[in-house]
Amino acid sequence: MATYKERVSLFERLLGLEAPADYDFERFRQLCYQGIPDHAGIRPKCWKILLNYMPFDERSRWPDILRSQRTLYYTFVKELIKNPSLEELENAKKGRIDDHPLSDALDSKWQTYFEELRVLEQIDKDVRRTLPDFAFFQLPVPKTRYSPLHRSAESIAPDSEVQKPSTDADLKPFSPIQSRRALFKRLEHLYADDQFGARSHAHQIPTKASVSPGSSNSQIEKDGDNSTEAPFEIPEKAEGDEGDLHWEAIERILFIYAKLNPGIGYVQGMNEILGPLYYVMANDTDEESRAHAEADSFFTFTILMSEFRDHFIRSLDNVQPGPRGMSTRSISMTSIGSDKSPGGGMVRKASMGELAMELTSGNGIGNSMARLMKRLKRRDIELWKDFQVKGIHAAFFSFRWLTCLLTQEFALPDVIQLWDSILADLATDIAAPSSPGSAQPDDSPSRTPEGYLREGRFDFLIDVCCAMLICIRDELLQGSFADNVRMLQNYPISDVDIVLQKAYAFREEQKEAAQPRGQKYPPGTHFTKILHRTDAFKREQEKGIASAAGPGAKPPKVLWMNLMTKPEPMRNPFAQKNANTSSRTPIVGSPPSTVKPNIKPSPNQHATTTMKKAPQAPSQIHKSASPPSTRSPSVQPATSIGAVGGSLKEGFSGFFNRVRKGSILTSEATNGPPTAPQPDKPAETTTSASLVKGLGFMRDRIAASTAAVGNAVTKLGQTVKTPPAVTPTAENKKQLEAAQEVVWIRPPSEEDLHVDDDYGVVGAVEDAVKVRGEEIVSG
Amino acid sequence: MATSKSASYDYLIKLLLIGDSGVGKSCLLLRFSDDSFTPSFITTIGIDFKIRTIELDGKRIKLQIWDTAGQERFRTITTAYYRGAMGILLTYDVTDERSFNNIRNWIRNIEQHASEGVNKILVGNKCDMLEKKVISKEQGQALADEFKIKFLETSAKSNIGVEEAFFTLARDIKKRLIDTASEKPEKPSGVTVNPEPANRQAGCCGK
Repeated sequence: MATYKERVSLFERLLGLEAPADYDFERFRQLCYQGIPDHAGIRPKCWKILLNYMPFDERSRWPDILRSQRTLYYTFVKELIKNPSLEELENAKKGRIDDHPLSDALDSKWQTYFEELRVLEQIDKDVRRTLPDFAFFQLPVPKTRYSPLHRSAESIAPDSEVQKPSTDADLKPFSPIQSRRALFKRLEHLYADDQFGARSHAHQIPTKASVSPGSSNSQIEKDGDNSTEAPFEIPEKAEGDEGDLHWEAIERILFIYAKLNPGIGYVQGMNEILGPLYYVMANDTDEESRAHAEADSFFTFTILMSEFRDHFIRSLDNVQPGPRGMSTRSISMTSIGSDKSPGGGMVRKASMGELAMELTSGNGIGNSMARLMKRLKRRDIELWKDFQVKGIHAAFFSFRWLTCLLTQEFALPDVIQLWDSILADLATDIAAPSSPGSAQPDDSPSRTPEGYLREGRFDFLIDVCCAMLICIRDELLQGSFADNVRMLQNYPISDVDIVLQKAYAFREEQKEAAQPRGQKYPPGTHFTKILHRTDAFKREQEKGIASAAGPGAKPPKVLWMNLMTKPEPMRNPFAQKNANTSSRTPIVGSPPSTVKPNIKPSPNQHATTTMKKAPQAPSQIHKSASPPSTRSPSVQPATSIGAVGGSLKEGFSGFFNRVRKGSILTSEATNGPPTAPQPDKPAETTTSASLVKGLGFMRDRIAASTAAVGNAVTKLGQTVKTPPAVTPTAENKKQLEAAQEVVWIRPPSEEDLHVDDDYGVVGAVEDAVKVRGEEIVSG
Repeated sequence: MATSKSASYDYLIKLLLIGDSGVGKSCLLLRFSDDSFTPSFITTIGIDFKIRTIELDGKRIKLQIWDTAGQERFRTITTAYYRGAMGILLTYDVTDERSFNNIRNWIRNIEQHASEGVNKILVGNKCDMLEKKVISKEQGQALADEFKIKFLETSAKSNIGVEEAFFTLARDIKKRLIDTASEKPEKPSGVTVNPEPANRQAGCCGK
């Protein structure tokens, strides 16, 4: 185990408070790309760093950053999920919405409240379904003295290390939040009247069944009031009658995210992405970090979403990877059902803001799927052609692969392992944010520090998907349409290492291809070593170390995770899974020394062209409204509050508007009622004014920094990807209409359906893809 | 799953499941295709796909069933399948009034995107949950009558009406296809992993 231990200690050194002299961020990133040891809190920290929640080069500020961000999150919890009083709800229930002093006819807070309920209800349905086979999410969040959400009996124990004496009411984040379960209370209220079916928490969670919702909540509030004196009765009721379950924490995160990011709101699949993040954070071995898992997950999720949000926006589904730039980007005019009243009825029309996005962003799911197919075509033309012939469209499988970041394709432990590499790859994108104003497609190639052409953002994710296809190419070539679709929707390879190895190999090829003949780096450099890990494996195999590898086994990635020394108590399911993973991994049992070449700290081999990770506060702020501020290195209250205020302002107004119009709500097929889509700029302004007024928190924050925020908001508004900032002009309107019709596939016509039988349902779509494929090639 | 691959069949019928998120579309399909039930099914993202071959009046009919995500965000992808569908199961949750009210929207959606004359059936799922039921059978029937389609209450959990729903729809489609289209070529057997024959797609739909 020497090597594994070496590796662990290397990581521990890299994560220490002292910046390592011989490693910069790029080198650290490379290390993570190969897999992060599953040991004592290393992974959560690594992920936080990779996502730049904790900037690698600013470790002296880590405690401050974490504290201020966590404080911010608890402020969100306090302010954003607050409930109106019962009396007010009663009034609203009786239809006397306008009776409330703060409401007016147009912007009734109570109306909004009920609209929010629908979002919440959707989230609630889904989070219950997050990784249902995994018991962890159904368990109560352990009590702790660190978190205001999960206060333990000892309550505010004097903890000088964490708990700085706070002078300001604002800085008392860690006192218990009485309203933390207000969100769930909303649902209980809704379900209580039985109008929509009583899917109450109590029903779903046996452990809570004995306590009626009402009593449970009043208990909580009482506790909150006497924060220090009245701790929860933990011993008897630790089952979770007052405490949150893990999936409820996830629910809270998603709701707050949706509220702060109205451009997306909540979309199914977000819960799947949040799952692994939360799981990793909540299983940190450091008690304090673990206690703040919810807050940390919120921010890392937000950052992650800023990279992938386009996948969740329907109006971006159709964006084609145009040649370059706004003027030349082609937007497909084909449309499903364009011959039948397009855009009416259920079809939600794009808002002007979304149109603006459409013109400046090429990262919609349609584009990503096209990238995948393009890559497949290049790497395995035979398989690609077979897809065309059989009519297997990328959307049949990769829509979910990409949207959920493969979380539904592999078991959680494998997903986590996969994410080590995906997040490490993503760190390159996060460090080099796209410039929304430039109208450059985000998938334009760029040269990486490693010296190969990076084909757009989240490059490695596409590689993994492509590898997944090629790993089962023989089966796919044999299978019929139906066989293949089923196989792709229930991916047959459960050992993620096989896929990972393939993806690593792609990258190597890519790198070799991009590298000028003359060696760019001396053979001994760190990169070379890492990148030629396959060779390393070969060598190791020759030595007989990996002799256990089965026939046809790809060079396995070394599973540090599998070699974890001792499972923590919290990780029981995980540990068990690891055992399974190990058993089907050929290299298991072999000494981890196989990794030696890669992990040896080698100060002298420091690469010549590593990319310095620069502090990127300003540029990051452009990437999304609220999250950026959260990871801005400057956490001066004024700054962060200003930025957050801005995002909140945009957030609230947009959210309310959209929710009211039904556009945020999804499953409720209120979608796109004929009245829905209006360019919402003017309404937005007034709405935000009144709504902001309605919320104490918002009022305080925003009023206090109106001037400062004003500018920030404007700036944010211009750069954030979802701002409804385009003034409707005749031309825009035309584009808008066009955009409404845009789909990434066109409807099958009769002649499209000649190819074969099974292919029929979706037969036509391939033509569209073919066309696009040509475009890509020629472009 | 393994069984459905092997059989030969006379007709291929493509079905589509639509309805609000959480009404139990995936559970209905799982019950029908695999005869199993899981209370906590993962969210369907995009589209899913299952196959079952049934026998109707001595003919083997391969049902290819597409399960769609209910959330509005996925409409782009899901509506792409409407056109090729020969039959559509419109699903609501008898314990969720909103999902019932939205059936009208779904029907409008079908009118826009599906082929003319596509067969439909209205399905009120979760009928085992008597104590939470808010939509009566009569209400369901009335709505179905209004649109002149058939109606059934089902429970994927208790296995009530599921077979019947799919069979009813399949029978209607078969009738329609035989009535309106000429006889189709017989299908050889596509045993296991072999590619299935590619030349049958006669005039069923997709006009």
